[in-house]
Amino acid sequence: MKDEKIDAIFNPKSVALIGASNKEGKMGYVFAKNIIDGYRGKIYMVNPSEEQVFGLKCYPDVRSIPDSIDLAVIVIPAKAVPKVMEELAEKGTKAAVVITAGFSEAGPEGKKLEEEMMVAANKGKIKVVGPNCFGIYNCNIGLNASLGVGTPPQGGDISFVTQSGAYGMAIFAFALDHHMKFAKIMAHGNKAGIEDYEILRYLGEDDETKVICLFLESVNKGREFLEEAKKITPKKPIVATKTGRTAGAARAAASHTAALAGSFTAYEAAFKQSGIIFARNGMDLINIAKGLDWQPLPRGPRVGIITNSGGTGVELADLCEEAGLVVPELSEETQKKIRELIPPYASARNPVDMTPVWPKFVELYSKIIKILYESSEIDIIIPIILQRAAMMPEVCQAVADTVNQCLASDRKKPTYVCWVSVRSAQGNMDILQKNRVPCYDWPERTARAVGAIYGYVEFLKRRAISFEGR
Amino acid sequence: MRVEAANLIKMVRDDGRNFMLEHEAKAVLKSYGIPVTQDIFCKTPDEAVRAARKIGYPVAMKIVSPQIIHKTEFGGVRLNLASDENVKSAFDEMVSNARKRLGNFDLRGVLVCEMARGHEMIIGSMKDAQFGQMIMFGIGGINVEVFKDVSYRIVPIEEIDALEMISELKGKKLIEGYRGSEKVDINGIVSTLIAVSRLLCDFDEIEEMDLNPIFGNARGVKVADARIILSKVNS
Repeated sequence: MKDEKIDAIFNPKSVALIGASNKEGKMGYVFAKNIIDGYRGKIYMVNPSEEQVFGLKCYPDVRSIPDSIDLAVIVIPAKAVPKVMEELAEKGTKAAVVITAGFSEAGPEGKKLEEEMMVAANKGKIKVVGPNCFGIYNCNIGLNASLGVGTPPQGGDISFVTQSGAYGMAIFAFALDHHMKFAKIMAHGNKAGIEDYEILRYLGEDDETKVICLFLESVNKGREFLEEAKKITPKKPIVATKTGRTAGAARAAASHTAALAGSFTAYEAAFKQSGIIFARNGMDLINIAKGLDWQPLPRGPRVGIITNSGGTGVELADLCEEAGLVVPELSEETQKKIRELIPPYASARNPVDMTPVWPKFVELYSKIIKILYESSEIDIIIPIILQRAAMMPEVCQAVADTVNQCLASDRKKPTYVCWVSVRSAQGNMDILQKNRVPCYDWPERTARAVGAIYGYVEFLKRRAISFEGR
Repeated sequence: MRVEAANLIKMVRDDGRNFMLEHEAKAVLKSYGIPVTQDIFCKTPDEAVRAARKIGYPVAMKIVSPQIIHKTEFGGVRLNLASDENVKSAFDEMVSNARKRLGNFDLRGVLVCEMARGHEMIIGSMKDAQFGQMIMFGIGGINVEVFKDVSYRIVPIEEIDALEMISELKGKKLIEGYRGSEKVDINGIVSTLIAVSRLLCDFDEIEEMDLNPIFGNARGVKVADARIILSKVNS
């Protein structure tokens, strides 16, 4: 059974914006604009000093709203929040997202306010997200109740929970820029009224979520979190990054979100035994999620590298091996098939180095990908698209088409592109990523993302958990 | 096992301590099926000699006092004692060593112990504010101390977790028969880790634990020394 209160956060029938405003630059303006933009449920604006906000009737207070409220979004100053929370409780409001800062993260006075707010919320059994947070999205219903700009595309299945507001949103924006699509986003800030494991459980049960991403500063109720994660990872992957791993960083976290950064040893142990994929940083988090979302899981660790630059191929091979993958020499039989295509001075051993024969790039990338896809010697294909190849849109199109043709016939192994090129070629990377072929900048990030994904596969294999069809 | 361990813990609490003496800690371990060295608690040099003969030479001897947590610092550990004379004089020396430092101290006796052989290993526990009881495993004295080659898990652990704890250590090679050295019974390590995990789950009041050293060989593992610290207040 889905948690009804958390569901009210993501799928509300009605949303009230407490502190709605017509004044550009005000928080209440940004939120009004964002909510109206894509959300098609009932919207109630609340502000005693406005008649209308964005053409919608504005109510002087919560009591005057002639309807029940599923989700209240609160952007008014901290000291006014406890009283509003009481009114919302009386009204039977299901959930509230408190954007306002100045609570426990700001000192003892704020802490007191947060406690008062929670007393009121608990009385009415209101599920509280925040305070001191960036808000929430349900992309698939066009709901943007956050500080982020614009309504993201629908049809996504990655969900992202972030304790850091601004960085979390930057990570999200970076992901959108890479054509990733999301289902649900929650920035939960001080986590005064919601536990990590509750959100995890909700997303674990959520059919629209296929990949769960977590940006953590701390975890409360670690044991419950671990138990939930253990239940979820056999079915769907969880990727997490955890900041505050060192003593210096932990200090910053304590003053930042009033978080008690636990020792990383415990987190590391919890991640390992529950199969949570650990990402070392925000960008790795997104890179790993992208590979998991767009491509099937690798069946084994054997990487086939296709390159037009020997140096890059060897660097990637080194980094792959360091990341727990293997780059085996291809059999004579497979090498023979490849040698028939490439120049006599090129190498078919693995990395397959076609050398810079750009007039033949389209043909060679496509045909060699197909050969490796059909070969039982390789589990993972990594074409390196470098410099001139990256500047040729027809090469990117051919790689994208080949990968998707292969997957359409039999979804049996992933392809990840290692991208090494200049900014002016960025548009060509879009060709690949719009077609769900993940691109990673440079060998280091590629190897780290692919190694982490394979680490998850090993976790499943060691426990004899089937990932047939995934 | 739980009842027996609970009684032992209560006994220690009743004695006004939160630190279990070695033989008490080992009795707790034993009640959970964790293999420990054969030890005999003795109050006099003559008792010690009889114990040593019963166990079979060579033996180890350790001082037992609630005032002594780190026995070696007080000259309270003697190894490889091979005769009645050695045992007798070791008894007297250990007591007088401790007396030099502590004056008239609370001497409970000495422990005469079987000398276990094999690869050195360690199992420990600690508590994390968010995740609770954690179990640690390490192989080899230097690997643990200098290279911090240890693995942690949150309890309870399952067999697969125990196997992963072992396999992620660099020192794993040492117990797999590196350069002809004796292989260690992996199942023995796994079942010990699981039993310790069970003990930790049952007793949240165990604040810290050090089973160090543990000796492992092809026939199994044995805990040679054990330290258990309980929480200050009975929970």
